[in-house]
Amino acid sequence: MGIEINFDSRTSAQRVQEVLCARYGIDPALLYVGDLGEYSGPRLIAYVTPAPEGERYFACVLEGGPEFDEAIGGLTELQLATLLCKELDTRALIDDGGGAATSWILVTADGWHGRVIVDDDRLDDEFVILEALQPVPSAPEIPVVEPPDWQKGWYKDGKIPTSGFDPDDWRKPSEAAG
Amino acid sequence: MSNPGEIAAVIRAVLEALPVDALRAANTAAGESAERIAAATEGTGHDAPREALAHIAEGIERTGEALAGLGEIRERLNAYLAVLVPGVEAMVARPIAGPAGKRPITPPNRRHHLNSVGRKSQVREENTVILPGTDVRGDLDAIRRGEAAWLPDRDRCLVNGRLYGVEVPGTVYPDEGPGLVKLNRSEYKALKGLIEARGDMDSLPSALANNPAVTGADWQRAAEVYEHHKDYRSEDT
Repeated sequence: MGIEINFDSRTSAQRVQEVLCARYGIDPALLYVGDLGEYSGPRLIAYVTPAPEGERYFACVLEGGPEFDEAIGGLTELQLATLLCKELDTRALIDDGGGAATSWILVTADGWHGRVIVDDDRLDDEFVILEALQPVPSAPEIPVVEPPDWQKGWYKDGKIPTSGFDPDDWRKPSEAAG
Repeated sequence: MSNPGEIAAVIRAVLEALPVDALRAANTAAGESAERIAAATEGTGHDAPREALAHIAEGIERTGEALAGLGEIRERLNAYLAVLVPGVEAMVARPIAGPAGKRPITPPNRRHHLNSVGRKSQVREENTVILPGTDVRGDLDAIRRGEAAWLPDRDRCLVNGRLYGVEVPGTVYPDEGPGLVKLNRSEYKALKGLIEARGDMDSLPSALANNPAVTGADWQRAAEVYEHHKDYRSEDT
């Protein structure tokens, strides 16, 4: 399946690597930190791209392949993002699994998660959160809008992602859907 | 106010409020009374009734002119209504179901179109690519006209065999159907790499070649889709 987590640009890519390697016993040589275009070495299982200088928003990116999934014990993106955000005192955006490109899940440092809407016009360049689909406890300044009544159609199984601190959300999507 | 139904309702209200018939009846009655007065006072030698009758006659004439103008206005409004009403009735007969009936809908972001996929195109867990020649614009027009089926159990539009969803601001996104290809995250990344390398697997961006999430099967799937790209040459890949 693969993992992709977009951390707040102020997040240290080095720290992401350190936490992952320490927690899951991953060889640091297989979890590269830097621009993948400049990498030459053994086949990686994951990499972390630091946010470019001056980049705001969510430009520090962790990406892992199938071997990384195995190394972290099959955690979902939401589980891993929650764990890392708490550990690194940061926040991140992850895909909400739906067809609407502007709907993402925000994970905050306190372990909370919920859906937010990002600016579609800037989405190919950067993540700019416009509004949330429910209040964000640690960021009340984010405007809240009611989700449209056709939001179910964004998800192929018709299951709308939940929000909050509920540990049930840590189950794999297929289990949580039932 | 842009809703034809609202416009028609206002025109009807104005037509009802126009006092044409009442004025015409009153004017006719005034003319008849003036004639009777003229007949009764004829030969009396008094100037006052004659002068008064001249004023009344002038008033009746002016009122007649105003009535002609109002009649013209009424005629034009009725003609406008005749054009407007069939459209309004059609709308009433076939309400647009789903999001398109509630807000203006806009075309899918260009990143969905194969020939517009670029290095920076945002990648999702699932990405639907529109192949060249797919009449998405026609689909959207059909949705706007209320000709698409709204599937309430799936909260998606179905038109010409293609399913579409609608984002928060009203942007339509393609889901599945003829001319639409669904790619997962790594397949879409591989496609972006192929497009950037113009189909040459030997000159792929090194960042993608090194990407642990993109596997051989992803490249194969991406190559199948790339065959529809404007830059594809049969000797590519």
